[in-house]
Amino acid sequence: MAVTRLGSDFDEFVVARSPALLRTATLLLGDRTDAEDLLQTALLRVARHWSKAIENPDAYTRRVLVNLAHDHARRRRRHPESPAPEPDLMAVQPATESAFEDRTELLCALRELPDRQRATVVLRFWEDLSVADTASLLGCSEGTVKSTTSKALAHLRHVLDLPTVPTAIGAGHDH
Amino acid sequence: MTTDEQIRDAFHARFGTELADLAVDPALVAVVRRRYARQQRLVLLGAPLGVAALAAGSILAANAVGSGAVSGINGLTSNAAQSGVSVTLLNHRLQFPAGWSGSAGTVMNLGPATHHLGGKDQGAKLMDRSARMSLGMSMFRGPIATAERAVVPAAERKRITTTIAGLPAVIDQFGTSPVCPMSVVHAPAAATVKRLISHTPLPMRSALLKSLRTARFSKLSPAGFGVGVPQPGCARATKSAAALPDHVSTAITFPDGDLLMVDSIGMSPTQVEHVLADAISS
Repeated sequence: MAVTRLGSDFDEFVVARSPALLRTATLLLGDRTDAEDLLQTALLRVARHWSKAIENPDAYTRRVLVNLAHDHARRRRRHPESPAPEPDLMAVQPATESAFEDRTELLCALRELPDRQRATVVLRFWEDLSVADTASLLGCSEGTVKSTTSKALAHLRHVLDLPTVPTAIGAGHDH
Repeated sequence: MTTDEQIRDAFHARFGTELADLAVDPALVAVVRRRYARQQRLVLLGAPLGVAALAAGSILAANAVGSGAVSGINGLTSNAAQSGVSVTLLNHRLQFPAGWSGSAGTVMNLGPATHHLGGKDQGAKLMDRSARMSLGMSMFRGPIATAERAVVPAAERKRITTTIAGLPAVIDQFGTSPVCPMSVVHAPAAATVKRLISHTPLPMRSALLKSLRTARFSKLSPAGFGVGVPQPGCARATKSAAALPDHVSTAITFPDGDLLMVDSIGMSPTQVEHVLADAISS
């Protein structure tokens, strides 16, 4: 493929997908400023390997994001004297005070999760990946994904307004 | 509806609403696209960066604990006696203080080249302890250095003639993107300079550092020093990053023609200047 075509494809990918990727990065880290750094690093890495990434750029970039988020968390654990920043809640000003409180509660609840749990629920329920795909991306078994998901949801249940005992509701029927 | 679908809907409803107004900083996209465009121009020039960078190696050794100098991997050593990290890129040694550590190599894999341009490059990435500041460094030698120096079209350059260390020098300031690096092209006679006795302040936001003016230089010391200053308005409009321009590119041309390109994150131009000047002159 011609170099110029590759360049054009990459440009289009960056412009089109950066907003969605930023949201994913924000959820993976729970912080917008760190998420922007993460996204930039990820995109530069994808650029360097674009000839490989072009087959499925979304999946490739998602994998890079998850790996970088994992590295980020590991650095924070290694240097505990560097305090983890508060979620950058003011980066986008909520319209109302209650919206601000909601955001505080949401992102804080997500941040409180262990890194692996946070990555698992983001991949499963934000990126809509299957259990198998999530396990493959995280390098663990499907059983681990299920148990990790369960633990994470127990923590998030109150902010997501999930029923305590989920029930299957009228699958395949309209009422 | 299955349980998974319920949860997925709830997830998207709650987080989707909250994150819907997140916008990507245009500076971020500009930096990524510009870096990629630069790579593509190098590919068109036939730069064998992928091979050269991999062959030269880059990489990293975290601050090691021990006594004396410890050999690192591929040119990066940790010196416990000096409590810092020593990075050697194509024979140029840069000494960084404690708190910095190597984290990854800067390797540009550009895919198939039309022909081999020649030259070498070597890179390393350093990060400070807080993980807030990072330096991506690439040293270029030979034709690839010339190509790197020339990737920005002349029309985009702003040429400044000045004096560095008593010698005439030309600064090419280029780019209208948020990152606005400067390339300092030294005078041929600069290779003989061992000490910077006097200087004329560069027409930049900050003058040449005292440490750079007075330090003893080896024959491989830089003849010029330029720090890119981001364009107004490129600083992020977020609470924690508003005070600092996040992305700064710096180009240093050494008397032997080698070119050091540094892309920094989380540092002001002055900070970059301090860190690099100290690293080179240590």
